[in-house]
Amino acid sequence: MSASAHTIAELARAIRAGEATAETATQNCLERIAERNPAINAYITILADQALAQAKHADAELKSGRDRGPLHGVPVSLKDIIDLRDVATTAASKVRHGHIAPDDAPVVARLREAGAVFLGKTNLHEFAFGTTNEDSAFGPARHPLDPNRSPGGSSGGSAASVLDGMAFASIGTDTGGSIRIPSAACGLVGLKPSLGEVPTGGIVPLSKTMDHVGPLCRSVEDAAIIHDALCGRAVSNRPQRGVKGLRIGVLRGYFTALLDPQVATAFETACRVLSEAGVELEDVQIPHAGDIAPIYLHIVLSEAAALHAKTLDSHAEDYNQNVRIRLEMGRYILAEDYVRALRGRDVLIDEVDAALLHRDALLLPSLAVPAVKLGATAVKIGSVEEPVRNITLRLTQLFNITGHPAITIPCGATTDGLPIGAQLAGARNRTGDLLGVAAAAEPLLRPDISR
Amino acid sequence: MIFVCLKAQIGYNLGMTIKTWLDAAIQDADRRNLPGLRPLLEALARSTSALRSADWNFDATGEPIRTSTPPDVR
Repeated sequence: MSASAHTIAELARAIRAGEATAETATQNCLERIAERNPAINAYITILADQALAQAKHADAELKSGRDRGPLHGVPVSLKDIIDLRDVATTAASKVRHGHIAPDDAPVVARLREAGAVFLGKTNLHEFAFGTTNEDSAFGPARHPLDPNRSPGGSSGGSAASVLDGMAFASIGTDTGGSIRIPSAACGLVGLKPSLGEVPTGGIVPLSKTMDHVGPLCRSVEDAAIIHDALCGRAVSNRPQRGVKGLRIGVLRGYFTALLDPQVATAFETACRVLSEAGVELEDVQIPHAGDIAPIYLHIVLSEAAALHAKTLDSHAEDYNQNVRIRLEMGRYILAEDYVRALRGRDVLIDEVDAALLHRDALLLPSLAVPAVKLGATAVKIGSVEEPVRNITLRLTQLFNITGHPAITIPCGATTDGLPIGAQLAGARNRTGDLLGVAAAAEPLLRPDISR
Repeated sequence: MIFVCLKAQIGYNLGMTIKTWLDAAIQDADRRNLPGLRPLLEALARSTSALRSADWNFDATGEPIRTSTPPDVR
């Protein structure tokens, strides 16, 4: 079965029906990697021999009657910021030269226990500190639909690996949108779980209070399967529900003020389709939405600078210049301004909680623009020119500040065929409930899905 | 180290306004031969200014902080 045409859930069913094996699925992915990775640069490290050995072992276990669940024998990729035992974790940086992970990150150990097969480590923006994937010591990952465009970032290689059939899913990290941005740009489902729900040990940190781990994959069902594994639990039995009667708050104002016209149209279409299907949509406000960017910037820069201070002094020349300069910027933030930002975080948490009161989820676009061209520093929307970093983070960073779970689902494409995503956010520590809402909404938002 | 440096350059008799902070930060970045930092520090100064003027900031006098721009559209 091909990863470009099938979900994890479909592969799992086919394996158990004797229509596929872990080995053939893995072999197909490796053939696709050999064919496409030279052009797309999604992978930094390819683990062909290990993956095939793992797949054969998975098949043998299944044959002997041991079934570890729906991830058993499923080939996945890992963002190269996550430790995989005995393999380098480069974080796409020369600073990490010579590093070999002594052990699996807890999330990798859980995936291993669930039977996942590890195809390799994927490209990213250096140290996950950027949204285009361009600043990588291994060169940029490219968008499979247009190699002159970025697949988004920082988990850009992860998204490209899934979109291009080089993996059935990928595990990424999200500190300001690094799962949801590339997922939206590549037409995938990307889940940032609730803060603290999935352990971040064994993962190179960027901002300890905003780092999250989650899946980039082809469907909400797949996201739920992987999320369960990342949480170290058996597959949850989530009752399926329709959308009728769901109450969803639509975030407007700041969140829809600066959108590419085609993104705006797709988002309004998504709202209309949901409304016509019986979802109760109400416009809601985050009163201090205009303060999101300053709050985010002061937290992420301060925390990233603290984590990198030692190597900024000892290995400055090993950083990509753009990343180095932005990390250095964080070293000038005053403690009083960091504390102000933490106060602002509390305000935003209260406002998102209030917006979710008596509602099942919040709805907003995921990414204000389609996949941006490599090398672009700014994007023009109408008469407004915005730096790429600002416009790409604009709609995702709120939920890194507040810790609420959020998921992006494809909701259309531009006339050039570039994907567009819609984002749902749910109550803190209720990622399962959010996945239920997303599963109900997905068939309405995606014309390619029919269930 | 940089923080101490900034404090020393600004001196304790001057208020830590955005302008004094930015001037000192740029001076320090130049001293460290990081001219590429200047535009980023200027952007950071604008962001810090917005952060400090937000109406949810604490004020020891108890006076509310007033902003001229509604926060939802900043």
